[in-house]
Amino acid sequence: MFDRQSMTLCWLSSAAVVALAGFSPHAAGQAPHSEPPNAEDSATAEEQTARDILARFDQNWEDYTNEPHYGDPRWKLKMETVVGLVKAGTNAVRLLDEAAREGSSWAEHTRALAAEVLAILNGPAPVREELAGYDLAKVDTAQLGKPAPDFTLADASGQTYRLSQFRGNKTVVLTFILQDI
Amino acid sequence: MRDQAKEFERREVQVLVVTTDARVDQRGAHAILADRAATVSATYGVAFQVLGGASRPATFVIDREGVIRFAYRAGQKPGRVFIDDEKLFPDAHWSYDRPSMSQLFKVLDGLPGILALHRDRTDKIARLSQATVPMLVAALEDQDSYLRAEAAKLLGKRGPASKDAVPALIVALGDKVGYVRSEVAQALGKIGPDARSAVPRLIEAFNDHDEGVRLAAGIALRDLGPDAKAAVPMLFRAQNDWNSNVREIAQEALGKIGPVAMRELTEALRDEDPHIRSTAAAALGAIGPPAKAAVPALKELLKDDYGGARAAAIKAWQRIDPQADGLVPALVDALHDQENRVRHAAASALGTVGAKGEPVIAALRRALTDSDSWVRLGAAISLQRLRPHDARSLAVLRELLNDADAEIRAGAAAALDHG
Repeated sequence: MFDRQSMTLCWLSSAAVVALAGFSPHAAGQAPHSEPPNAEDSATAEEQTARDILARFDQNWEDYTNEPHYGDPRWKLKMETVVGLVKAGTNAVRLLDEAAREGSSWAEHTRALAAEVLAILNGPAPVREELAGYDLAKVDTAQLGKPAPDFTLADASGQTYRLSQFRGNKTVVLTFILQDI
Repeated sequence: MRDQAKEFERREVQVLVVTTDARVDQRGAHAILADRAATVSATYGVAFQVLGGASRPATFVIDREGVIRFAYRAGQKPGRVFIDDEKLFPDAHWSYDRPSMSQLFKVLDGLPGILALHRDRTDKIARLSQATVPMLVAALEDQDSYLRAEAAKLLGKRGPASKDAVPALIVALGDKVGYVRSEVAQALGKIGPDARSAVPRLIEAFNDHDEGVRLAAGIALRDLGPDAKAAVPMLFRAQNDWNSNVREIAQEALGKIGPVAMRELTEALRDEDPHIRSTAAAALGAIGPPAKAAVPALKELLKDDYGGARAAAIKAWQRIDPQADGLVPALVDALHDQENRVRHAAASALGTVGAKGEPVIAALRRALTDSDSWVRLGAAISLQRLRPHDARSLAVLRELLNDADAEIRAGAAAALDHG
């Protein structure tokens, strides 16, 4: 049991490494060369918004450690940052490309996050669209005694489960896990 | 895990397991859902809270009205750390903390709808235990899945006396609830030869997506024995089932059906799938001496490329014809096999075939120095049988009491007790 715990944590960190190593900023077809010659000087309003989102993360985030951090709300900042940048989409790519680069002036955790967001932008459409369409007002709204927020997710075979499909019919035990049960 | 799944099922609870892990797998009893965007995790307040960015483990109970009645996020109570069915693990990482199963069932049973269901059930179950076969047949169509399962179980308990229920049970094999199908399948097996008309449907049930149903159908086919001959090809295919219990029950069933399926089993010794070749050998071995006609094919199998098949051939030949000419030299030869499971099978078999000559003793003594502790254990036990109180094998057994493998230690201890 304890071995598996450390394996899980190792796996999670190595997955982060893979995400970093495997990312390719040019795969999205957003190579800087396709920009107009003066684009570097004239950041658009959307780019500025993305830059503000990333700067806020840069200053306030601290990576989670292996220690307990009961009730620490920093994860909301990460969710806001990821959703904000994915919503910005192509407008954020140049900034993320710059931030993720080796030796960039951004903090280590920001570089990792930028790579993570680039991987999402270059990755499967369903994940990208889910994040771009996510309403941040929904964050942390599952509360005892209140209606459970609805969602639809799929299993490995592609069968979808919508929480509200069980309403009036079955009790649901909803459990979030690290890996297997 | 299966028993827990049944406990959830009989309370009519849908378990949804959510993970941000990209490697979602569908082997468990529950629906495992991928939350790759972590949006559901964020809504439920658990996203990105574990080192590496995974979701914090958590459990929610949502009642039939869609209201959250219980919520526990790992590490919610400082200092609690990891309770798993009443056991406290003070050194475990906080992220493994979760409510125990008994705590969860207590929450579930406390929900209004479920309690009422339980009271109603208690009365009905009391009545069912006194019911006649036609009444039990009627209960197979009850609205409550728990009662349908109970009715099937009671029909099974009465064995051949429930033979009039066979047509209704065959229909009930199509029940929408997995554990009802399991109980129905097992009941058919317990009714015995009168349930032989269910074999085609039991074969279908042996392909059920629910592993519990596959297992129950395997038990029923085993119990029906020779009447389940038509299941032989399917039972062979089950050797590739991921669930080892299903594979084992299929082997047992093949052994029981075996005497009427000699031709199929002997042909399967030459199947292209090595697991099927090994299983066929094991099933022939279970038949014992009446399977003598298969010995030439088993001898061929001793030269198989697959070690598991060679080991199975040794065990089967020894069970079918322990006095056969050529068996002892073949076993002595197999003590030099490159695979330890074959050497172990040979070393163990040599103690039971009755040859006590010096060449056998010398070969077993050599095997006492094998690099593999399973082989040494098999050889030591065989030597003890052939030469009780043999000092060298006793010394090896004592040494194996300190082996790293618990099964080896237990085997050595048992052998020393008998000696």
